Amino acid sequence: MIRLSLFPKSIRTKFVHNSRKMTEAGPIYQNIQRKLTEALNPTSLEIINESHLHSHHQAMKDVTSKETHFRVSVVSEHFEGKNLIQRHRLIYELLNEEMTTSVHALSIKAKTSKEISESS
Amino acid sequence: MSLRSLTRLANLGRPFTFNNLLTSSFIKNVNNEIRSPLASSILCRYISDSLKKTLDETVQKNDVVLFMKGTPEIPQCGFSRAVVQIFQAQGVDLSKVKTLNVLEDHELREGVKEYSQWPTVPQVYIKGEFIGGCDIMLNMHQSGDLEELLLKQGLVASDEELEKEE
Repeated sequence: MIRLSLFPKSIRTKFVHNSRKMTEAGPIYQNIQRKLTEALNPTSLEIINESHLHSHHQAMKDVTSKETHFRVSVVSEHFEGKNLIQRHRLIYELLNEEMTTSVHALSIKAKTSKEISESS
Repeated sequence: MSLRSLTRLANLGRPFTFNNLLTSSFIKNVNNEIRSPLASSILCRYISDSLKKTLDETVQKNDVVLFMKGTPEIPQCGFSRAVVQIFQAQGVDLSKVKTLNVLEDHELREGVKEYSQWPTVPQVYIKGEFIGGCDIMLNMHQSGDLEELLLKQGLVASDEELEKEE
């Protein structure tokens, strides 16, 4: 408490604000969002950064990036007529740069809007 | 500076092989900036002919092959664990599943990604055919497609067969 009070309140809030922003939409998150939006024209796109759940893993011990584990749910007509493997490969291909540099795990849900309406 | 001259610089004083090129920390740094079609075509050459042959044989000879992190008893990754649990839930005899721990073999870990054209582990092959990773297995498990496939390939006993045994 004493140490914290050395800093004016405004600086503290700014820092907290920034770090929260990072976990919500860091550069990798934004890249994923941009690339999937441009290529797939999705009717729904959900990207969740789950990196904090895995930060204690052995494999992550030397990794400082806060953007290593993501979960994406994409609804797009581009998946029509493609099987699951093809859909996943399409996404992996689009995100090849992120997959080879920063992203350690990417969980994918890829559906067409028709499949969504059928299942509900 | 062109990629070619950069690559030449990185390999000064070293015999030129693809493995050298790829294991140099240099190319990994470069990857952040340069992802040209050339760079990815170099990466495609990572897998050695002998590894490809071994993987071909493994995948053809075994009904079910699972490339995973850790072992079925002690999985080292949640996604690998999930795939093992799906097999158990489906009633697949795990002793008949050929599992390969990619954490024990760096060449395998990188090579299998190239081999399957799939950037992540775990990976599942059934009767020589690539099925997918954890998401696809989970999806097929929930939709019933996996059970159908396993029954068709004779990898699990159908309800009628189980009743007969009893």
